Amino acid sequence: MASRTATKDIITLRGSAAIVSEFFGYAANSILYNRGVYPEETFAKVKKYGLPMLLTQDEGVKTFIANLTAQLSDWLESGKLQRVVLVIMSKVTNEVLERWNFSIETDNEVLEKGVAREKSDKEIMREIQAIMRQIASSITYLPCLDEPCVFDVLAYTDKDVAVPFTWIESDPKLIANPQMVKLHSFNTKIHKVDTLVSYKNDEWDEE
Amino acid sequence: MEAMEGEGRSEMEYTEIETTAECLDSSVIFHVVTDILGFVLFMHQQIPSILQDISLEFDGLQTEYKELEIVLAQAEVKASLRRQHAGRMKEVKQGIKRLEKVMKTVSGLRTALQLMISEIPDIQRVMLVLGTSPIRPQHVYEMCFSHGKIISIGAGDFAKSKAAEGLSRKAIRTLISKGAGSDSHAGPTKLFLLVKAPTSFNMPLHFLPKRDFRYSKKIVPFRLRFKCKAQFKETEGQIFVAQTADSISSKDCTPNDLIWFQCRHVVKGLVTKTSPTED
Repeated sequence: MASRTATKDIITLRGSAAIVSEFFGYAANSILYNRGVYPEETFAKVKKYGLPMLLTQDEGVKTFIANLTAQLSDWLESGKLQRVVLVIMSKVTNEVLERWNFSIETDNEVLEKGVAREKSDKEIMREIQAIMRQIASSITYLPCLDEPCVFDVLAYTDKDVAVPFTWIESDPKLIANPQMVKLHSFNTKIHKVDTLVSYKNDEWDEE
Repeated sequence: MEAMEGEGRSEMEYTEIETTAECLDSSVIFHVVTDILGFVLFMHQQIPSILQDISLEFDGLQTEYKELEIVLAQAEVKASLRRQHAGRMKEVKQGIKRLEKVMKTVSGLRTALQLMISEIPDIQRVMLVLGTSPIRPQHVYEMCFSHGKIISIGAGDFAKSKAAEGLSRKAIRTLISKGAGSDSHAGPTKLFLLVKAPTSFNMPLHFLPKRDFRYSKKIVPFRLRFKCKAQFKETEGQIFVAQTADSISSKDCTPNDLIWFQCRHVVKGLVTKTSPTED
């Protein structure tokens, strides 16, 4: 009988940081598409994680996300990143409507000793795929965003991190009395990413 | 809810979902079941995008095909344009062929469910089974409906209310929080719909009785119980029934009078090609 154990791949800190920061890029694009923050026609379809993924073609947003993922990768490699939050706000009132929260736990032994870990790439991709499906189906379980929206990204880092010049210190942009849904997690064995979306309760939505 | 003999399931395993609505009318039940069905198909990789998007895509392809037919029927179309349109028509036809089967089955299943709910407005248990056969499933989703006032809506009136939308969303959020779809693996399988109904229920075009149905005990199902905040009180409540339908009530039946009926419309998952080239 053939073994069904997946082959394990070596994961380094740098490799894991690359996987996680790339995930943020695609997740951010998917959120912006599926929550209708930008029009459908400004996105192009590509294949990633075995799924059709939508990537923005808006140069401004593209550049913003590219710079974001590069910075996140740096922070991930140095073990300084605790959380990334994509915030969706009303364009008119600036009220925070949704917070897509990605919490990160980093393996300290890997940071301190530079060891590598083993995990099947395929397994990591499968876990990421599950999260992407949840983002893609968000219209079926989150209230509709019926007004024009804008987004922002918050990074929670260790206190000793110098603020890069393209970032500013911010308030947490919280939602008053939010409802929450915990989504799937993925784990590279070096970085564990938990996903949670909190949202403003819609009058028609049941608690 | 009483545990049925031979099933051996505990009361504690149901996740309760309360609605502020006074009752669970037929339309609400219909939309909750079909929305969860769409969610299950997508999360378990049986369809490439959410059902709403596939439905829009399918409608769009059919419209485009008709428009191309009209254009190509015109004599004055330039040869180069004709070739272009013919090429596109071939692509559209392939797209339609790819989606047609699943769309037709889902449509048949929705019709069957509407007919059944119209006949049995106080439907209590519905099951979605994912796997090669219902008795050897990979995943099971059970829904139990505890009715308040029983209201049978007019025939054909299954419009989606805000209450139905809200309850569907809540149900799907609950399933997500419980990890539904997290252990899914690629590869097409089948989705079966089963409904518990009185033995007297008879709709052979759409449902087949499955007396003594039970699935493998190795499978731990996702179980949701939908409850109204205002529960039906026997002394004060009223039962409204459609004037023309010969409605069957589950409440008049003992547990032994209720059996599972399997819907004839079985959704077969779409094979998705994972291209080796990725961005």
